[in-house]
Amino acid sequence: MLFNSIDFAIFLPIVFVLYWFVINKNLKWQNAFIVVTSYVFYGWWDWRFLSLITFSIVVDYFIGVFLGKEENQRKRKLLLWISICVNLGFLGFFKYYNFFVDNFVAAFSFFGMDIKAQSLNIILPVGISFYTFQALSYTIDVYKRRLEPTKDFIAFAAFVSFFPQLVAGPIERATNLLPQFYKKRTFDYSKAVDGLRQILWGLFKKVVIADNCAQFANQIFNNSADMNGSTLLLGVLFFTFQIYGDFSGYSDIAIGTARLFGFDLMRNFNFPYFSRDIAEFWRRWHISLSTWFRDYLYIPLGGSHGGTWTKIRNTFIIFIVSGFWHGANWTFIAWGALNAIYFLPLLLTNKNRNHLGTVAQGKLLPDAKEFFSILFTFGLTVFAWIFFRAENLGHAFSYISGIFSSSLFEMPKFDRMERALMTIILTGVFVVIEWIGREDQFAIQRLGLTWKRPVRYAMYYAIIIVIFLLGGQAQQFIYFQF
Amino acid sequence: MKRFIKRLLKFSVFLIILFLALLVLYVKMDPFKVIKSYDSFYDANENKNGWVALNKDFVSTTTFIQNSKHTNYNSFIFGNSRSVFYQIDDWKKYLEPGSECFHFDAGLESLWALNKKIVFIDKHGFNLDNVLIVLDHSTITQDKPRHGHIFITSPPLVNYSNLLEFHKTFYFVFLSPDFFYAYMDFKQSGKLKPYMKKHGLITDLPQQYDIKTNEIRLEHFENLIKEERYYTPKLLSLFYDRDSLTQSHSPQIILAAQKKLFKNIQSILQKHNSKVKVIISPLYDQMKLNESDLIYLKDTFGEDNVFDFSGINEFTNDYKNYYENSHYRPHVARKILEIVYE
Repeated sequence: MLFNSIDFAIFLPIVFVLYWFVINKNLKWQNAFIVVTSYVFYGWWDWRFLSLITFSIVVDYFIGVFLGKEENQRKRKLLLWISICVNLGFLGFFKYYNFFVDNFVAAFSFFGMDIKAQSLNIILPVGISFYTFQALSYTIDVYKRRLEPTKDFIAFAAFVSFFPQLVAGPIERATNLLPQFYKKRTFDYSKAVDGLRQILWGLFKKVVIADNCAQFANQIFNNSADMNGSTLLLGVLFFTFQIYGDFSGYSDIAIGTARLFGFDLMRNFNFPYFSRDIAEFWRRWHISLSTWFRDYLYIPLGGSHGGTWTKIRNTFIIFIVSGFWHGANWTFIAWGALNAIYFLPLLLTNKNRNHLGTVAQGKLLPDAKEFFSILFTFGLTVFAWIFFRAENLGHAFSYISGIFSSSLFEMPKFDRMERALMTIILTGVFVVIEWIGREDQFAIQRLGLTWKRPVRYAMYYAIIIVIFLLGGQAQQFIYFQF
Repeated sequence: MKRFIKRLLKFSVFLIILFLALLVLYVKMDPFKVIKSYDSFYDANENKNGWVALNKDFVSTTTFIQNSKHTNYNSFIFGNSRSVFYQIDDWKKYLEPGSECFHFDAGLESLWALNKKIVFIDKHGFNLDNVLIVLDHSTITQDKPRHGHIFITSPPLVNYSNLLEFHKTFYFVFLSPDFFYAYMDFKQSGKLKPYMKKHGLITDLPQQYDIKTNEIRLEHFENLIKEERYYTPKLLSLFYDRDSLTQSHSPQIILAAQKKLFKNIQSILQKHNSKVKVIISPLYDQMKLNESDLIYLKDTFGEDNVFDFSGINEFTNDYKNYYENSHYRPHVARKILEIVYE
């Protein structure tokens, strides 16, 4: 079920009313209700893949229980590896099987050997990369004794399958989310209102910004060979805002929805396009995934401790794996490697933690140095998105060479330029609102709170009307494919 | 909690009233003719000043359902808007006398919907004695239903299962500022102003419509061509340059999903012992259908029943065989019928 669908607009109020009015007395029933509604939410897309989630839940629950009882270190390690193999095995099969087969065959044919291996017509289960990582984090935390294994199967099932963040994150940690299923939730007015505001802003980002930008990003990337340099540049800028609006919009709706049900999910985006260097960007973009890789891969590898070569190796590993997590394509690996190259100079000169606070805190505008740092970082990010969006590496390189040609100085030319102009204006307004609200959890969290109610309501009505009237053609959330 | 619900309802009242008021207006006006029932979707009197472009799939399907109560159709032409120019009068010459023909076309027709139409006719107990399928790259590649566009598949074909999605799409187009303003202005003034035609949703293109066969004719264009007023410099600029010396081929487009649909179509036609002819349209792009796709179609529908007019040939070389770079003219369709049925 998509957040921006009529189905969800009907589903959410029904679930909300049942949750708070019908089964609010008993915590176990409330958790069981979350599991059932989460299964309905996921099964709306394809009920067959519910078996995968169920299997993952059962395996990780029992491994957690056994890890809690087992003292023998070898046996504990074995249990951990079973969980890793099951979770990554699913992921590997559904997401990466064809990639490895195709590359294996290509590599052998390069040396003149004809290998017969059949790629399969596999459907990628929506959200598999998210819930497998979430389940895996639980087992690892229990193994590391950072977390007591749960004995409450229903609470664990609700933790893994919790519908607001099941298919596209934020990838929650058991240490944060699981304990929330043990405690009775009481309705918190201000939390719920804040949640609604966040849902509204998430919908604006998705429907108005991402879906409008998507039409032009798709048109330009799909016909890049026929486009001039300035159009190609505009195309990647459209994609830059599409992917941000799409993914951070989804996260906002997920976090806001969870708040309506009394849950606090971790923050996933923190105004990344206002970052002053790439290190800051990675502390602000897809935070739940970056911190997952930091805690479960980078630090176990030694992190930034050790010699220069260890730092370089670990940085490349984490960025390339992170790129590969997004999809089975060399383009994602290139995107990851490019970000590693961006990041390394900062790490090696110990400048990677220079910008920990919010840019221009308490000020209306950034100073010149901050402004140019933001612009430079934004430019690097935009360049890297070309690899992320391209069909293959050849496409990415031809796209780049198309931008850096003499036609960069021609007028952009593509279909529906008037609508594109409207999209650019909307995106400009969006950037300004995001800048104003950059010190909050989301841009409109405190916007208008001191205004009189009719004025504040008028602002909300305006956002809703813009969503309805100026929304782009409905697109799937990009991150569903990951 | 009560406070929250109360505030939320208070907040929503304005939006709900606005939404419902516009919905009532939409239902009352029914600009896309998808709510009320109509004797004819294209009423010449009503349309004399202009009309809103309709979903031809919905028009074709609804007209078929209405007409089939009194007409026992047994001959059908399927295809996208390019098939419009295969006129029933021309086709009838090659059929048994007394054949009842229906032009079951749709704008941007997909193979998915074409299959649905044949299933639909079969299910409703009509004979498919004569079938003309007009295909091209665009139809063959679309193997799934399309959403989010007002020219989407009609609900009757899928047992009204997409009714909500279908009406939502039309209602939201009605609400879009460009359309809403232009439509209200058009209704108020009764005049079609140039800006209203911008998105092609409101038009004043003269056309003739035959309600029995669901056939649309654009005689106005033919008259303009006769008077040598049609191919203006603006229109000629649509005819892009092609390499008419080297034949290019389309990639293979009949894949597993398409094969499944073609197989289903063929099995129904076989059940009806249909006389089927499959035509690959001569498109201006001069792209030749992939050899393996052509072999598949011939294997499926019979060697003598599939006719490929794509690629560089006498039809595609001359731009005057086209209205623009997409649709070929009736005389081309007539000539093709001659070849097919000779």
